[in-house]
Amino acid sequence: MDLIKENILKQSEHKSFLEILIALKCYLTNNEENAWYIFKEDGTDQAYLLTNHNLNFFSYKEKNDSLLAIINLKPIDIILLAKNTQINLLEFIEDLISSNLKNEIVILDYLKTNPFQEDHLFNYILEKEFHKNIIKIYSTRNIDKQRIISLSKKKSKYYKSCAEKAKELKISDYWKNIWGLGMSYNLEKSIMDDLIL
Amino acid sequence: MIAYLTFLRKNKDYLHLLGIKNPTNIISLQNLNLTSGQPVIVIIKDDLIISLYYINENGELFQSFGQIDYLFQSKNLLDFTYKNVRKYNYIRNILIYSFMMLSIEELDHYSEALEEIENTIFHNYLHLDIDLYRIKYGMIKLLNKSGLNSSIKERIIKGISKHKIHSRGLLKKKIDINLSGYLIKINSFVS
Repeated sequence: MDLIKENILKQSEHKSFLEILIALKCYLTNNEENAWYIFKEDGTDQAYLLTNHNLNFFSYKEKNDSLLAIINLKPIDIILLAKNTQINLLEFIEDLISSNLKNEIVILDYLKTNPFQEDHLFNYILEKEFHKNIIKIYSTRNIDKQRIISLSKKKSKYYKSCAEKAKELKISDYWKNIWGLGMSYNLEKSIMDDLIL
Repeated sequence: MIAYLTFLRKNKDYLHLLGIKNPTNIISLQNLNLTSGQPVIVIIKDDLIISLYYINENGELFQSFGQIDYLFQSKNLLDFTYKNVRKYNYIRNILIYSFMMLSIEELDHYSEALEEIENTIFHNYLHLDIDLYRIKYGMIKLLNKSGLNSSIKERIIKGISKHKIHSRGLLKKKIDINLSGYLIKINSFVS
């Protein structure tokens, strides 16, 4: 792990250093297709969100992979790390992210590809009072999230059987094909019913 | 007092912790919601299980047996999953992939039957010294004999046959355990 940390620190002058750290965080939290945003702290960059939320989840995967390559890491290297090493590395990355922010705030939009995650982006745009049309899109997404996770009747929160895990992945796949794609962020209304039923 | 990370093997009234001689009070675990192939941490003292912890997919621990969190007093965790972890990852990977051939509604409807099949597969193969490809054929044979309806059976079997491991490295992935807060070290060099 020291070698990974060394490789990261070697790139501290890289123009995309913050992005590299965020991509690594996505991998360490098993969210490699995850969308992420670096907002100005004052919340005045709504146009930035409108430009970027149209990107599909696979674009983020490609982006995160290429950022990881800058520090000589492959996705499999992260996956194979022992859990405690991952946790240790994650703490290191989070500290580095905090110290590299300049009046900015990083929002990881886990919900874009995983309906079982919290909607940090929606909370942020509500807090910063973004335009009502943006709030409307994310409000629709949030309602859809409640509906899709209701399909998953979780039996045990401890150990998931393969059937439970398969079902969870299927639900996530449905979700990704709706809210993981950019076009959904232009929709006035939900298309969930058509796709699920 | 020794802490072990191991897999369970269960079949109706029979319960075994792989690699460990059955402690005298193993019967006390019968009421817990356990299944074959499930990784658990057990702490044994004087031939008695004094603690058992479930491990979720994020590696978080949940004590489900015993009143005291003995992991705080343990210095080493003997990893007995080491020998079987390739088979565990392989079976789990194949089953998840092949069960995804079913719809969400089918996965709901047949959940008990599928979990029974999963339990039987782990029960029959996880402890054996066996080639991975033979496990695959054993799974197909078991499914053919199962009482599932033919359309479901056919799709799962097709999934099993089509399944390919994209990265051999993934099979070596150890069981995730989040030991934050504990001063315990994992000793994986157990034969």
